[in-house]
Amino acid sequence: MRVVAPGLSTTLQDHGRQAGIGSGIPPGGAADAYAYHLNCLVLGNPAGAAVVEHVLKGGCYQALAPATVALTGADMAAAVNGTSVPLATPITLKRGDVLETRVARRGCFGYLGVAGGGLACDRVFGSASTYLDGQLGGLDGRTLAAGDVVGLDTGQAPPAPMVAAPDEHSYLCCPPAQLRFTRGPQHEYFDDAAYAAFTAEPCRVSPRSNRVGYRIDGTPPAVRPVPRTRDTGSGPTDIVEEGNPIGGIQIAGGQEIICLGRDCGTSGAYAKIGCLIGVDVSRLAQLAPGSRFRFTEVSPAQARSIRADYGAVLGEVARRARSAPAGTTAAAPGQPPPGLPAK
Amino acid sequence: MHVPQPESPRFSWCGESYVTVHLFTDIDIWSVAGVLRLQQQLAESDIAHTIIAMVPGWTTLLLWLDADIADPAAVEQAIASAAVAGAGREIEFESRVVTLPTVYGGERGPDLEFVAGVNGLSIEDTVERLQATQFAGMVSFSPGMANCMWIDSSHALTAPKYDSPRTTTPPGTVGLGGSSISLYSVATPGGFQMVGRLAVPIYQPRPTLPAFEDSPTLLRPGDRIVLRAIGLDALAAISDGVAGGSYRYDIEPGSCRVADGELTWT
Repeated sequence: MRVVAPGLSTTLQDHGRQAGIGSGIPPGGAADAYAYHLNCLVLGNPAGAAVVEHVLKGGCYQALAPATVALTGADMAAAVNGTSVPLATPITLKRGDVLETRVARRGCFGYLGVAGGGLACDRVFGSASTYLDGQLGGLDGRTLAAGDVVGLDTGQAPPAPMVAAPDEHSYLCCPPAQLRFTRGPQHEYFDDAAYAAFTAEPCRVSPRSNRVGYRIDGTPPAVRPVPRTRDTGSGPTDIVEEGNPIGGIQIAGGQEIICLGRDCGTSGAYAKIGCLIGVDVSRLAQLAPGSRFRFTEVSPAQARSIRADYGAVLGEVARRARSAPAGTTAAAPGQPPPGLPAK
Repeated sequence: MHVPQPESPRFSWCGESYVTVHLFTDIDIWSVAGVLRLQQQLAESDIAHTIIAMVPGWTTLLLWLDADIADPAAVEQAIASAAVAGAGREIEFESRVVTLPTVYGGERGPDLEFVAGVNGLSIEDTVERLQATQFAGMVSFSPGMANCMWIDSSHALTAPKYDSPRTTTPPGTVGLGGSSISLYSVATPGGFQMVGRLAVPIYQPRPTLPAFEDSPTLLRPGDRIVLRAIGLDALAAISDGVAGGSYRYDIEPGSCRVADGELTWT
């Protein structure tokens, strides 16, 4: 397929890389991991297939050969040759067809996948994920540009059955949004009153957010003076540099709230009041700049239970796909993911 | 002699997929050795198959777990028993000696004079100290970026960080902040004093040199690093070798053994 117009900061992504995190390379991967996995299931692609990730604004593509594609994640008003097409459903393109996606009208990150193994690209440590700051992975480590031609990754697994899911499966979004976190690893910097205020105050996603980090406009939590040792540093939330978890909620300089994204530095030296649970890292990515939400504390056990609930939804989509006869498109379960209002 | 004592570890779950294990409070080679020992022990433990990756810090170890299969009670038990088992145990970790040609001062190290002044030393003595062997405790933040400390602290220099961080730092910059040296691998904001610049890359996302065939990053936690001073004439020859793909890094295999309160480098 040929890129006619690339969108804003459009890259190739997959489920991220694991082997580089010990040497400074962030895991990366689709900002909305749920929408990415759904895209793979809809098209019968293996986990790890490379997809196009659009941010806030879609792109325009021309098929240079017949292909089956699917869109998940943000609703970017997709159309083929000017006719609207649904989300989370396999779409057949003839040679010469033009697929266009526009400004997101719901959500932020949109995914375009191609059946037959995903898109061909540079793999580093086995992953297709583009890491822009490190100029690594994807298409020469850069954003897509007009005129690029992207082919199929024919080395991937043979085609598997496809499945069509209802629109509301496309991504995880449940306003009024609450983003759930577990306390720590530097909870000693914040007392119970600080946690209570932090979870009571509404926040907004700042427009100064990207795949590296999501800046949050809100009242920063009061910081408790903690005993300092030689190497702790003198700033109110300074700590000895340590590994960063994706979703960590960092309080920079005692006053700025930053949620660590999938391309964040692998280490940091500011105290983290908590860490978002896995599915809410994806849900935060889909909150448009300016969206209001509240932080809500959960226990690690609740975090595991929520993860299992969402995993069961994708598991059911996968089961339906597998049970369909080869060459047909199965219907997805009618039950939307937990927390999503039914249409 | 300071003996590494993995204190009874404090740990925090971060979401459902990460655990931060806090082992020590202050930074030294012993704390890094203790962290690397815990990493080795967990890699050989019965929860190893549930660990996606580990990130060693100066005083902490971050575990990234496959939350779909990890049993939280088993993870907590493994951390506790590994640290206890580690308390009296020797450790040997890989510690290569990597010599990196470096141009000090001038436009590549504009803060060298400031650093010399702060430490009350001549430029020559400052460069001499900068060439004393460094220990890479963390390779983190950006790809292949090494954060180092002097092995012999009598050679250590100190300098304050910038009051207002730079918006960008040239790749290869050798920076000094506090008593730590950072080797910048890609253009990133930074606040360390710029004393010099490496003549060779430590990160190559699309490798042209054989050293990067297996990994785009050169340095590993535990490496010893010598920032050898070179002049501009040598820089030209080395740059040609890098551009032509013929440059060979000076990397000696080695290890560090920690036992009975002593460090032994080989």
